[in-house]
Amino acid sequence: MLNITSFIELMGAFVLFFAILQTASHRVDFSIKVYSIQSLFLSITIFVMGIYSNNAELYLSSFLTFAIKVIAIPYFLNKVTKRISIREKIVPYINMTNSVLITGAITIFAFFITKGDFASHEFIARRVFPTALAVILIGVFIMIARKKAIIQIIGFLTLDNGIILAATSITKGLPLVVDIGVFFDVFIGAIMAGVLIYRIRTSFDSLDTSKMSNLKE
Amino acid sequence: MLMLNNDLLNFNAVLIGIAQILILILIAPFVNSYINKIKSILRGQQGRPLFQGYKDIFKLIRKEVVLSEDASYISRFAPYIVFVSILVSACFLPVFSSNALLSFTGDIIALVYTIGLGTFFMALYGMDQASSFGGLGSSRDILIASLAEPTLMLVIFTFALQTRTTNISRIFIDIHKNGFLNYPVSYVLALMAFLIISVAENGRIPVDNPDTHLELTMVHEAMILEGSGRHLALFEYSSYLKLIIFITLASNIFLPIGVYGGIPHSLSSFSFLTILYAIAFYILKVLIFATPIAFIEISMAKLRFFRVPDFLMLGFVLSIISLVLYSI
Repeated sequence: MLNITSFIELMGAFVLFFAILQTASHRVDFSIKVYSIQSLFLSITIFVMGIYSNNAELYLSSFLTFAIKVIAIPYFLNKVTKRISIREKIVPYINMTNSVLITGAITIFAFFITKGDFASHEFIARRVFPTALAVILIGVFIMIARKKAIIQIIGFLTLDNGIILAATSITKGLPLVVDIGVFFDVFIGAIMAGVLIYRIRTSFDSLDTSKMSNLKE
Repeated sequence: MLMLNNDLLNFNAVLIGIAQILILILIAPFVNSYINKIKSILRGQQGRPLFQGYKDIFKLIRKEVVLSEDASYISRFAPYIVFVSILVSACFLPVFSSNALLSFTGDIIALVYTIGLGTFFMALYGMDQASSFGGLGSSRDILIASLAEPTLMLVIFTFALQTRTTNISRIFIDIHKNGFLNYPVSYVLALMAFLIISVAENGRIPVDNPDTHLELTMVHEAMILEGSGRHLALFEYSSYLKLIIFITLASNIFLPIGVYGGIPHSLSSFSFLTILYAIAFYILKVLIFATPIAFIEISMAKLRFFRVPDFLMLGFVLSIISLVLYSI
């Protein structure tokens, strides 16, 4: 009843669910928590893919996901939010209800454009790729629909989770060098973005990116 | 359908149907106490004993009913209608075998809307006694119920489409036979949507707090604030039963393991031991599904009331996605 392909797809579906939950989040600490759980499910997905395709590099990739995305980045983001003491709520350009509706449309769109022959049999699990595509598009949507810089970073990280999921489902594991490079890139990116947030906060008194076009005297 | 009618003539099938209702009625207060116990343990308290639910009900039944002077006949019979409507909808529900008592006359849609009748009369009861809190609770409860209902129907239609029937026994048999992972993405999103509406319909924590009587926040308690004696006992019992109905639906749809499918075919070789085994398995599944509710209640704060529509909108979108993904 529970074969391994279905299990991979099930875990991938949880990654998608947490991406949708991300757009419904009202608070920064909740968003970080959701990102952390989403990365945990991503790590499990990659691990099971490793068992399925018997590829040792995928185990390492899964471990790296766990170490960097479940522990290190959320820890760092929490530290940043504490330091600049973000008490404000998430300010959206598009309100929560409409964001969730648009996210639903995005998900259906992602499944619609990848149906048919496009999903060839080379894939590890057929329905993981549309799921990953939906996560990528939702990440982009979070980046453009939120005003706060820190939520835009979380949108970027969600997008990155989607890309990793898509890449592993298509290619049966990236080469190890590329893998480590990508993880390092994301980690450094998150740290630099955190420093940048701190700078934005000190010079503009707000994380609202729409206020950055105001002239400062 | 023909097979079900033949089954109905079978005396054993009727017996199993009655046994299912009795099981539901018996374990409903226990599940509520179990959730409270887990919450207490997680808080580091000792908690109320596991059989407190039964004691509460007995205590309330023995007390007399006090009605307000302004109460009309609605207050007098609304508690009975609420209780009976929940009980009738429980009769539609196959619990541990597919022989539901009323499976020949109604499907899963009838179940949902029979519960809806109870919600309607509870709202009337809240408004009837001329208490300001009652009307407040009724309006809030109707808002939540009307927003949760489309989601519930869409989740049900997801599984009705996958199994091509709205007969609740057939849906359960098909899911138990074919496994639940034919559409994994659809499954996960439907599960989460069902979790959200179960929380909303039963007045659990992110939507309503069943433990407090704080006038600003209460929804379900505001409606039954004027209730006393056996009327209150009936309301409490109906809310326990409603929770167990939702948990039973969830456990049979989303965790289709156990001896469920085996029983109807082996009716000729009707064995008492199989039934006992099925009941034990069912109770285990119920406890598995009741535990996350306790964890959610302990880890979340109650939402501001005007944020509840956002929460329910999330459930609605999840259910739409899970419905549409079936056809893609």
